[in-house]
Amino acid sequence: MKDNELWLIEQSRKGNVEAFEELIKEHKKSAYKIALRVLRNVEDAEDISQEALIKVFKNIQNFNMQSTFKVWMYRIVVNACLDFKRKKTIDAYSLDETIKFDGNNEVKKEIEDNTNNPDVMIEKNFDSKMVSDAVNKLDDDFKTIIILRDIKGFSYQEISQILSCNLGTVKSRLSRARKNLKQIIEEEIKIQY
Amino acid sequence: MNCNEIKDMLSLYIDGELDENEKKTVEEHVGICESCRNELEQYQKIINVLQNLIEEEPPKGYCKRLHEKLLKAKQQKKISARSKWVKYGSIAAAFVLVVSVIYVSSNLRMGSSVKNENSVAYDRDMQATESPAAPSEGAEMYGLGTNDSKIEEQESASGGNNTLMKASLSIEEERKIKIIKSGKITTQTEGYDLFINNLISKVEGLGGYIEQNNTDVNNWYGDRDKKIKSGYLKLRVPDEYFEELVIYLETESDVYQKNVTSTDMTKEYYEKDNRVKNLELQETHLRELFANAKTVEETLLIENELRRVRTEIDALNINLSDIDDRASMSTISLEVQEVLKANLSMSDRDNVWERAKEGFVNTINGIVDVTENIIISLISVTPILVPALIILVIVWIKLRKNKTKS
Repeated sequence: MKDNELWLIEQSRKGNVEAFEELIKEHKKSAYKIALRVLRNVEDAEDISQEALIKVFKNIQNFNMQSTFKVWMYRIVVNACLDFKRKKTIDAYSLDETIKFDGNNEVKKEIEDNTNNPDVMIEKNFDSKMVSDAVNKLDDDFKTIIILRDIKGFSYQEISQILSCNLGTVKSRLSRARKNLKQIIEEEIKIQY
Repeated sequence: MNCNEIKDMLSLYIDGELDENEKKTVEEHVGICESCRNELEQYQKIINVLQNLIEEEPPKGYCKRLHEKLLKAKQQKKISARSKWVKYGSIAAAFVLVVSVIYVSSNLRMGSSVKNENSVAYDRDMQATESPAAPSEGAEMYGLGTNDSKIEEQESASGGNNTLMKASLSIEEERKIKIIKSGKITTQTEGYDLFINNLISKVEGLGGYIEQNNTDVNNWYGDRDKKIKSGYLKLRVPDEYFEELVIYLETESDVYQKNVTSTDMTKEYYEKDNRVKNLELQETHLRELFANAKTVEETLLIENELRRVRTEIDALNINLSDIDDRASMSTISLEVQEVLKANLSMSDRDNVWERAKEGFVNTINGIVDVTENIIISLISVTPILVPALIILVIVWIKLRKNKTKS
């Protein structure tokens, strides 16, 4: 498997498109899904994920084998998505964004009151849609780390390489992200019931 | 540990990222604390949902569109790879070129000094022929101006001295003014031999002589058939004819540098003269003592003293006679440079085809020379070039690494 990957990388370096497609076969859909989670728009997700994969192809000479190919590839994909989103927010501060921001603030305020009432979630079941929506409401940093860890199942080590930060940051950020996510879900449940 | 601390550790506990002790602490606490147990269950539930989240698949044709884009990128990659080669190749070529040009030019400068000397002479000639009047006239005016004023100054000063001396030292023999005149003249002439011969007879006619006469024969710039001469002469003429000779040189040749100085040595001369007289008195006295000396010791002592006095007198006398000589016979250092007559008439030129051929051959020779020089200098700079290239490659690799990281 590993040898095969090395061979495919070599071929891709020589400009063999088929070899490169074989190399990213397992990852290209995953790249799209990450992009969709972060960008929440089908067209943007396709554009940016494909752009990122082409960047991977073009720059495969620069891949220095210090990390696994998978990690290197996802780093480019994640960075491309976050860059795009950052630019978009600067270009046009969308109405959606503001509402979400306000909502978050409210959520945060009410969280304090809710900490003593955690039973809410035990009794009520929550479906995947609610969780999915909650993920969408997270800040980009938290969203990214939840996607990578809980949805895509990357290890802490891999996440630290993808996000170019140290393990301690991954641990604390993931912890805060999960706490934040739980609070958003709690808020949703409270509103619904 | 309180509940808040435990709650902070739950995330890591779920992922199995805690060490044994911490894990035990969390498990014990969750066993007794309902609130924390609930929280842990909630986290596990959420994560469970996240892990089983059904995600939207990419739209139809996603892979096909990606494939097309990749093929396009491949084309661009090839082009950019080529342009990269062109880029780095041209940088390397420019670098090599700069290095070799520097080397070749420095080699030329050191290796063929003869050529350069000629070119200097040529340049000078050019300057002189292009604007013969302005610079030389300027120089003359400058030289003459300072010179005249100097002489006048000297004369007035010496005149003053004269009267003073006459007044104060009338008993003694009249003092003679000792002024040393010397000149440094650089000049050009078209007929070197004729000019020198005339000059020699002129100097001899004035009662002077040629102390030194060096003549060099050089090839004219780039032409082996034509010879030009240059010379360095030291002329000595009696004091009173100095000015006449300078004027003669100016009329007979094209003087473009003139520097005349007059130094008044009168004071120094008579100081030395007085010392000689004193020493001579001392000498006669010592001789008397010597005649009356009784012991060997005395004799030796006086003899030593006599010898010292005598040496001093001799040295001073040499000095005096030198001043006498230089004051009575002025010196002119003359540099003569032969120039060719401007020869620009069309009939003298070779036929066009011949000259074109010659030029062509010269150019080819030049190219061969330069190529040889480049090869030689390239090989000789390898000790610098190789480490420099290694450093460049290292820097380049580093830059590339940084690029991927970013």
